[in-house]
Amino acid sequence: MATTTSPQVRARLLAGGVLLLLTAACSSTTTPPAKSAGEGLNVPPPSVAAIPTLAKADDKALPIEAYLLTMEQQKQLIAARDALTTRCMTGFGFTYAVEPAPAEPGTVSKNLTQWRYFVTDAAEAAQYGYTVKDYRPGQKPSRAQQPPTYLLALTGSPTGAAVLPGQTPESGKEINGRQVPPGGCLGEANGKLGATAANGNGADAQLVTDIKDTGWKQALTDARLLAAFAAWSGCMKAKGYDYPTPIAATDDPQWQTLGASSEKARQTATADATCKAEHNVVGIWFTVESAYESALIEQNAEALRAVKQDIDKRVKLAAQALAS
Amino acid sequence: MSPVRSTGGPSEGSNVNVKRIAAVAAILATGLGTAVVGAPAASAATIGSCDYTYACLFYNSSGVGLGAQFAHAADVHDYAGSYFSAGPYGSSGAGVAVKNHAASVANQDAHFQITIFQRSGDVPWGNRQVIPPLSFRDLTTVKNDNAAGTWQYVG
Repeated sequence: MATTTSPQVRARLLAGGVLLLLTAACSSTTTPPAKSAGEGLNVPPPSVAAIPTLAKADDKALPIEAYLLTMEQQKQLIAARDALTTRCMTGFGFTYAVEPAPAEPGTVSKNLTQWRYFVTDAAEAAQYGYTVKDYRPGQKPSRAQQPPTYLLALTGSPTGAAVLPGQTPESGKEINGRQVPPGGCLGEANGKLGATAANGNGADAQLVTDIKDTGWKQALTDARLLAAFAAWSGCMKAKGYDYPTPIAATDDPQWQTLGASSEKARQTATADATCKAEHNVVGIWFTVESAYESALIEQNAEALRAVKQDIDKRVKLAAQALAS
Repeated sequence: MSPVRSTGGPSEGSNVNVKRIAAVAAILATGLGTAVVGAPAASAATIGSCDYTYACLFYNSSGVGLGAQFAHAADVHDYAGSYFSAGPYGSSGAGVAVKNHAASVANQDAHFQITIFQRSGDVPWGNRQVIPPLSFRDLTTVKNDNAAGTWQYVG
């Protein structure tokens, strides 16, 4: 644990303490009960009718994806928010600077199952080892400096500070006699597009990501998947590699020194993908994880119906904003 | 870059106690408890808080008040060497290492998503946690298991 702090960090700690006292004094006194995200989500091992043989799963959808915003819906909501924000900012005499797509946008996975079950293609593994083919990190441009009044109009705060769960947006501020909406123009636009705390401020419902992550975790303790890992491990052993699971092979610390696309990594990853195919690890993993998700979805059917209605409502609001 | 698995954060079961002990130790170490009184109020406005276009990692989840924060504008390929600082959302966890100790994330960029990885070197194998543009998320899969965070343009 770190016990030393630089003078700069220390100054920030001190200042933070003051602000903490100030916000504690004037913010809401109701404190939500301590609760971890995803706590309480748990289902007994679900039955699985038939397990298909799958070499890869990146052309398959997990059940929970039906309750997540699609990339297309996300883009539409962003475009609608840009349109509403631009209109609002114009009212304050500002041009909302929507930055163009960067030269290096970074690879966005096409769905949840892409790369999910680690290396699956022996031919690719022979070339790329434990690195990911065609994966490029993005290059995020740094933010353009904006004057405090611009940030005040945009976010409701002259520093552009976020309004986060449990916080009350500042209100009553004016620019040239015109009232800034709580959360600024972005806050107003989000409100018009149906953003709530329940949908993560206009994104996906916490429940949905919690189900996705609980399904992943529970599947990793399932006897059927563990048996598949054991069979895979035996196959790997016969080829001269000693790992309990494919995850352990990916995380082998020696790739830090040798490199994840070194010759040894390429050979290991090739054996890894070959053994996965031999024992249908991807088919079992995808089917078992899907079954956990389906059981969790059934357990939370009512809340998820509301999630779906909320998505439909927000997509309609976005379409209306873009049409007006 | 090689994938480097984060070296095991505290388990979910022991999490609360470990965090509490770590937070108390950090607060004692920084002397925050006694120094608050004399801090200049003027500096409050210049705190690097979770500002527009940044992403903030928090030591706690939203249900327990977020706590200390770590803000980043650019990609962080390995959180090793970064520490949480007290900010507008609390001081719990101030001074604690960011790597493997984040419980929630606020993305304050309107067009970029941020992905939190369990492996440094941002290799996207396995389950990932994506925080869409301008949204907040309590972490589950990568809670206390965050090794790197990178941005991708959505639209």
